[in-house]
Amino acid sequence: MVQRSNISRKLKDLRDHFLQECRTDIPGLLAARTYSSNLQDALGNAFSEHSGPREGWALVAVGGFGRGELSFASDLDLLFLYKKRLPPFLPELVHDLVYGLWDSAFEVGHAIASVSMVRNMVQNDFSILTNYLEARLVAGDAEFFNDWKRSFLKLYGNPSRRRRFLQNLIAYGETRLHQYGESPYLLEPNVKDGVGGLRDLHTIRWAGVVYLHDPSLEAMLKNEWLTEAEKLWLEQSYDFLWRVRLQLHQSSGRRQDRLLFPEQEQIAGRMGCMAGTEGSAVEAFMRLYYRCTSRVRRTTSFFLERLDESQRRFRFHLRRRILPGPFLLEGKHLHFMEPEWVRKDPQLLMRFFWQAARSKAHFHHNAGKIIRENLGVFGERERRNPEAINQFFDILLDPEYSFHVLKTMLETSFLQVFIPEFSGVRYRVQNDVYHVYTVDEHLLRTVHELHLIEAGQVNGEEPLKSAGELISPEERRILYLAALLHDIGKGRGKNHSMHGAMMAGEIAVRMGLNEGQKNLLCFLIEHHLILAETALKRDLMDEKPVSQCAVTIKDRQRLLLLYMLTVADSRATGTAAWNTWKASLLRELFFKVDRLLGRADLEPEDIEARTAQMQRKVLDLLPDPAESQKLSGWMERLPFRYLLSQHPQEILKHYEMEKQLTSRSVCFKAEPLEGEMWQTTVVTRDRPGLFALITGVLWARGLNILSADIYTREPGVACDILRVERIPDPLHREELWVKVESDLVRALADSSYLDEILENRRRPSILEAKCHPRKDDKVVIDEEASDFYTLIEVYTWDRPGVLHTITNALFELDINIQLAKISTPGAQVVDIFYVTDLSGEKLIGYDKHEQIREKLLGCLSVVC
Amino acid sequence: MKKIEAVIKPFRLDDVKERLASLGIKGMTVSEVKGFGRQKGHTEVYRGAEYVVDFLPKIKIEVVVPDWQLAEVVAAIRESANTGKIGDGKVFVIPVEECIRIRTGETGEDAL
Repeated sequence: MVQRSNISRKLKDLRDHFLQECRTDIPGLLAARTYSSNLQDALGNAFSEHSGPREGWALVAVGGFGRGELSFASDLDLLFLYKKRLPPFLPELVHDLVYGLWDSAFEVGHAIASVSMVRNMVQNDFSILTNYLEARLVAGDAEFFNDWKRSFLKLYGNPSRRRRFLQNLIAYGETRLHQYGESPYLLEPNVKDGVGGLRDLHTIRWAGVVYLHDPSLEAMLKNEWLTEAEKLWLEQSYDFLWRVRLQLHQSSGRRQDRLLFPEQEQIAGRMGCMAGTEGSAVEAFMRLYYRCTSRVRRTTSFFLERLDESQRRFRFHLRRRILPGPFLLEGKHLHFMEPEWVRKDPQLLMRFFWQAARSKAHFHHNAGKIIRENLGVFGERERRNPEAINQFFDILLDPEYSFHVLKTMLETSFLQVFIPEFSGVRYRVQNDVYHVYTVDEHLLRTVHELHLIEAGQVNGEEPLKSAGELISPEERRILYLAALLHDIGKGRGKNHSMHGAMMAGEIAVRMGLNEGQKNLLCFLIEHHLILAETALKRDLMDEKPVSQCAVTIKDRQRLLLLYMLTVADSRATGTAAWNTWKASLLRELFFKVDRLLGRADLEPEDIEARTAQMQRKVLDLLPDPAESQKLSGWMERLPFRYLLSQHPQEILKHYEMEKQLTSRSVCFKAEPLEGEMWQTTVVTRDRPGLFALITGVLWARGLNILSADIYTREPGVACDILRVERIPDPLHREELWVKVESDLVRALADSSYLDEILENRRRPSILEAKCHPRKDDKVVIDEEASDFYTLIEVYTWDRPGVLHTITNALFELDINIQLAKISTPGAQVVDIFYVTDLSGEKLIGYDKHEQIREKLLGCLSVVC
Repeated sequence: MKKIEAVIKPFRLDDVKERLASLGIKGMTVSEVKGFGRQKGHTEVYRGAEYVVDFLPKIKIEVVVPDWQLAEVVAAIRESANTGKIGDGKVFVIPVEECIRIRTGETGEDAL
């Protein structure tokens, strides 16, 4: 009988030893294989002492153990296989072994099955089939095992079964792509199941077992299902992924296959990545990682296509057409007719991509290889060839196929050859939760988003609605080129737009663009952030930032192009970067700048006249003329900024609300806005720290504040208008507003009440342990941006109650907040405050600035 | 260790079970329960007479997990049991003092 304690101890020792080894970076695949074979030997030896009959049963390693690759944290998949009748001693044997393994904390997945049971299982369940494809004998009857394995594989000798297997394999890949190709998995990928992860490599092995009875990559090479280069990539990637996986398991102490932010940082260090030209160490590491997984993903899909084609018996069904080049269009796949000709005529490469876009074709799986092999012949002369450049623009401007074709150009490295500047951003990672895609992918997506905008799929509102009709063909070319190149300066130090514009200038010259086109291209790239930054961080009621935009942009056409680029850029960044709020701010800014540019002179409007006009409008709305005397007296004491930024109806509403203050301490109103946003209005008697109190209450009720306008009227009445989002329970929102109002009343009456509800909310939940990459807190104080206010910009990371903390600190510094803009892109917080001192003046003075900075940074370092 | 008690709509059970299995949950207890929450049951008309159904059938899942796994398990339950309608249920998290495997006498997280 198996010595239960002995074998368990032996296996445990092996595992602990392996765990020790993984404390430093070790060769991944080799280590995983060594460990697996050690385990197998140990188990086998234990059974050699077994005295019972050896015939008619076998202990088989399946799954990862069968493949011969294990991490110390992997579970052991075992199959106890018998011929027809269960040998009487087997249950006890299994019991001994499995219990022993359980007791030494191995995770065991085991099955006891007869040959016919196994056959049924694998036919009904694809995942069991793949698990059993690479079975290996650990102990028992070798002859019986070999017979079984042979007959098992023979089952898949039949063409229709094989075809079904291949279909299942392809479907399996698609499910995984669907599950792991979405954004959270792009930032924190799964090493095993993720797109381009170890599973893809397993897929290739499974296919090898079924078709060739050999999982090795050599066999695939021999069958021309893989090329030499692809095989090398796969081998390197296999090893790399295992290295990462072992380190990941080691640092997390368990079988965790998802590469989360904290581990990314640790593993980057362990694997010897350093901060430098690639950005931070994590960014360098993740760049390596993405390069590896995208190669695996690509190679796997080519592999499956080739396999599919080699298995197709009725090839003549495919329609074949010869296209000028000459290229061969076979079904939907485009291929080179005479691959050797590329060497003599390098232009064939660009023509090939152009033809693919034109005939809406997919790429033949061997085309990539030919392109890659011939990249060297495409040189400086070819890059400047007008025909190639025109074809490139045709591809770029193709509404349907540009993304697909550009992506293949990128993946075959042809794009880097045609635009060498592109290599700097290839697989470049930006380590935050805001940028979901690598820079190269983001650039392609921006082009794609532009096409969507022009196709009217973004939203039906002006100015986007008719933007497509307003731009000339020449401008379109430049716009799309700018979209493709706008971030090309990333990774070259601060101010990537500036670097990008310089690089774009050289590209424009190479492409033979004229001076005007070149200037437009450089302009778009250099200022691609101006609209977004102004809209999100500046008060759009203020003339100054709007007129600064206008001065920079200069004409309406350029504004329109820049606007389209901004929208496409934001939408291509990730889900956190685009929402109705941002869209409405951008649209507002667009119209303001457009109006200013349309007026030709950039002189500000006459404020006096506009306020008088507004006051008349409000009076017209008043239902009861008897009150007009009172109302106009009330309006006399309103600040300009208020009168000019509010609608007449709103002003009247606030007037009504203020009247109610005679009988109550606070008047509160919530109205739905577009999207999921709400506008809340609080009218109450002004007092120091009022805004901090309101932000505290709203936060305590789970609301996220997007912006705030704070107006104070002469005799000490405050009207605060806040836009909020994320209503916790949309089904019971009325309840929420009732609670908010009663909280406000209580907090105004009793200052300890606010602390109480804040304390309740601040109680850390055991569920929120998520960690994000952090950047240092930053406070920027700007006196230039506005003539009437000092701007305080606070950059920090999101955490409970951060806005309340900041506003409270400002209150303690005797600073009046007049307006606030709050955005939370990903886990970053960007809060902009327009402030004055208590007498309403700007805060000019170095000492004051330093004091504010110190206080704010101090407060931020305490909250967590 | 924490015990997670989730009361969910019965037809979501399969989805929840599948998600939990994919997280490597080693065991769970499931029971059929009745109860009501904020909507206080509902009324039904049967043969012309109106009956108040105060207790609605629900499924209760109990899982005990190590602390590190808590967040992902709760998130998985939330995602897979969510229909966005009233009556989706609740999740409670309760600290667990000790856990003993009866057969071996192992204690703590090893016994999970």
